[in-house]
Amino acid sequence: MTSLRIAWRLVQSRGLHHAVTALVLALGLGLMLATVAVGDATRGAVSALAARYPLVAGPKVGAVPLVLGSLTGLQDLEAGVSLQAVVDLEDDPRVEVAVPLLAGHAVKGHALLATSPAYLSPRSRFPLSDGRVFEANAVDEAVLGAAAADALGLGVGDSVELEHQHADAPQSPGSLRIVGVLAPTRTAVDTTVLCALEAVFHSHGAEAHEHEHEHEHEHEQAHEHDHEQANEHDHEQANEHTPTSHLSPRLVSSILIRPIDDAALLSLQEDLQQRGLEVALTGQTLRRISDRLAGGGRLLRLLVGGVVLVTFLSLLMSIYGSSLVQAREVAVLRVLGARRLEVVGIVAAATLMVVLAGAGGAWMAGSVLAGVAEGVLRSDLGLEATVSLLTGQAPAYLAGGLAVLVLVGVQPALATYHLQAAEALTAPAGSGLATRSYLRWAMRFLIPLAIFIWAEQTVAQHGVEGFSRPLSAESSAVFDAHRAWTTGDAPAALTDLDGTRVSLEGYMYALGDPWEVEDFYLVALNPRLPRCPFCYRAPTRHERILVLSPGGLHEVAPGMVRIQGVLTLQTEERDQVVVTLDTFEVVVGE
Amino acid sequence: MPTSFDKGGPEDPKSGDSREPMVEIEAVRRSFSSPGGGRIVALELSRLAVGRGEICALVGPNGAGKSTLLHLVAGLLRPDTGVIKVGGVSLNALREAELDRFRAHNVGVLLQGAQLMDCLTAEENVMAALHFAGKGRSEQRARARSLLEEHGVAHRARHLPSAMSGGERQRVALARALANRPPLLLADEPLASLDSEGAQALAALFASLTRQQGLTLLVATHHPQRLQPDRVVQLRAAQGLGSAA
Repeated sequence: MTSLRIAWRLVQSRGLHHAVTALVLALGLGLMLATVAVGDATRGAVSALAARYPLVAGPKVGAVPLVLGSLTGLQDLEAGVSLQAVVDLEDDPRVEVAVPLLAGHAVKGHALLATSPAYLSPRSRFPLSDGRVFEANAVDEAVLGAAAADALGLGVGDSVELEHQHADAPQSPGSLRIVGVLAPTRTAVDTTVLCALEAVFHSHGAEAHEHEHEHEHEHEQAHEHDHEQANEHDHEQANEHTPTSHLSPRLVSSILIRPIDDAALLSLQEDLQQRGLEVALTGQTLRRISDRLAGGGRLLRLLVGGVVLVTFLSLLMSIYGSSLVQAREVAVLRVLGARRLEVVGIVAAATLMVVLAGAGGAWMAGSVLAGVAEGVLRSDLGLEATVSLLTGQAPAYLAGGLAVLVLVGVQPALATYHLQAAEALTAPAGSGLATRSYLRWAMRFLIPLAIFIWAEQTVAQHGVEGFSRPLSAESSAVFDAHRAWTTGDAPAALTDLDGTRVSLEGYMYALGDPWEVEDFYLVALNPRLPRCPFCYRAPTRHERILVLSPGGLHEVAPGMVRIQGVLTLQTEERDQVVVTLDTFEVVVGE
Repeated sequence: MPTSFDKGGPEDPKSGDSREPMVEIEAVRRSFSSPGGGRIVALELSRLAVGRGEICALVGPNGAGKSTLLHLVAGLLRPDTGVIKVGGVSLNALREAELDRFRAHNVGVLLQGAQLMDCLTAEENVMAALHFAGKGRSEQRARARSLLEEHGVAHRARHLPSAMSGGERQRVALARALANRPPLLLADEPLASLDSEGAQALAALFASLTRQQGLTLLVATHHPQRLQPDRVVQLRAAQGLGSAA
């Protein structure tokens, strides 16, 4: 017999009760972990996608349909952008990559996506499992998505007939030779057939060829034309060929653009808008969608908060029930000669077994939920999200959740430390001894917890002098010079800084939804007050947030932000300094 | 830290007051706080000495302080005033951890209603007592089997208390109380849950243990005549002033 075995027997003796407790813990904690992981994965996938193609240009259909149609395949896009715009972008020094997309055709029931080989380049998110990518101007080559290859029973070297969208099409559109097959990606591309733009243009026959010649001529002269002429021509062409006409072979659905830098992004956005195109910032648009559908939804957060609360209460009730039963057994152990600390160890071990079983279950439940969510994100939202409980904030939340559970779980053990064995042995049933003992420890635990949450909320909402304060171009803040200073260098002689240009380094803490940010917190870390994962969202280094600043629209990484501005200081008292940040700019990176 | 003392032996015959006392109590008072405020005196005992190998029965009405006295001698309670010595060791001088260790080695406690650990089998209940006295697992198992055999409940070794009769639970509880060969056994209403036959058998066992093994027995009971005690101590309710009868 060992103390651990006694603890295990205590758990075993109320197996069903403890199993239900562990199950409730597993579901509650698992749901929380999965939600956090999905939020992380969604933001990561959005960021990755936005980094690959920060801009999308297309016809005037709205930013959301344009991005969904171009990057996720969830929205049908009709051709409405001149191929000349693609040519111009490819020649533009501000552009690193411009990838045209033309959708709207089909091959044996599978969507046909005409694009350039760059779409499937080695850096692409769509790796090949067999063969090669089609040539840029090949009129008879195609690459199959993994699911399309399986469904059609085709592989490299086989051919597939093209289909017209319209029954009154003048002639057979020809066939495509399969030169490559993509690896499975669990996205809409899996069911797609991909080919060069020329293959689709070629399939439209004589009229298309006429246009082709016109465009070849245009292309040759493109550099001689000034921008205004080119724009006029594009607009005319777009008007001539309505999106529903199958006789519009030299139009593409959209263009994915990767500029060389942020400055190029902003000027390209402006230029393309002036040419009458819809231009969407990929990150901003996807974040708007995903934050509302996935991790960022307030309703979802509320629901998860409710589940966590119910889980916590269930645990408390379970411990309460166990305490009532264990009071007598603890007293018997003391009679047998067990020391207080031995009894505490036994009760704590018994509780920890339940908590750890719950945590293990939470990990499994979270993994299952994450797997389901990953599938939904990929298939329904077209986001290549890898939802993992091992990365992002999920491990921190698991650790935080476990710490709280262990803290709660150890309480009955601490309560037994003070239990008077003789009193427990002689107390008549229903005397309320265990209840009183339980309530005593519960109050000892709950009161500090309430104070902690209140302090956290106060700091998060209002700031504390010397700890954190909201700063903006218009606001000023009061700092206690004798306490933690939010700048990296605590000013020894504050008055020397008056009117000088200084840098404030710290984390950016966005207020509200990223695209609505007009203000921000500069949060200084205070080691005396640990962050509570349930009270407010701590800033993370990995998260990209959007800041509206006088210099324009920037996506910035919080850990790389420096705010520069002119501080005006006014010393009223020896230990109080009024700081006014007159102007500021956001500097990304060091 | 004193964890044991000279346990005497069966050759030490009972000789009334001339025997070396196993339990000595001097001017002990113990009170508890009342739910309505103030304190209730549960026990006041001017003097009591129980010799080695003696069977001493504590009698008195409910609330007279019998259980409180047993808990004081077991070291589960500390007196408000007064001195308690067991085997010459003053319990007042021991710190709590020392008291726990002392109890594990030297005092067997037979609680009212057996009070076995419901989650442990009969064998494990006995082994638990040996575990807290620092015995190894092989020694625990061998001793537990021997004791259960000795008390006629070996066939219940793997059974939980819920599957046993009242008499069987009481015998397992006795085996557990005697597991560490304590020189002092404290028993609280040991006959309460037994029929007359079972009570007779237990009384015979007590007599055998005291006479053959020198065990000292302090028993709280409403039926002292069944145990044939060497001495009966009458405790009065309320102020509970003790006196030898």
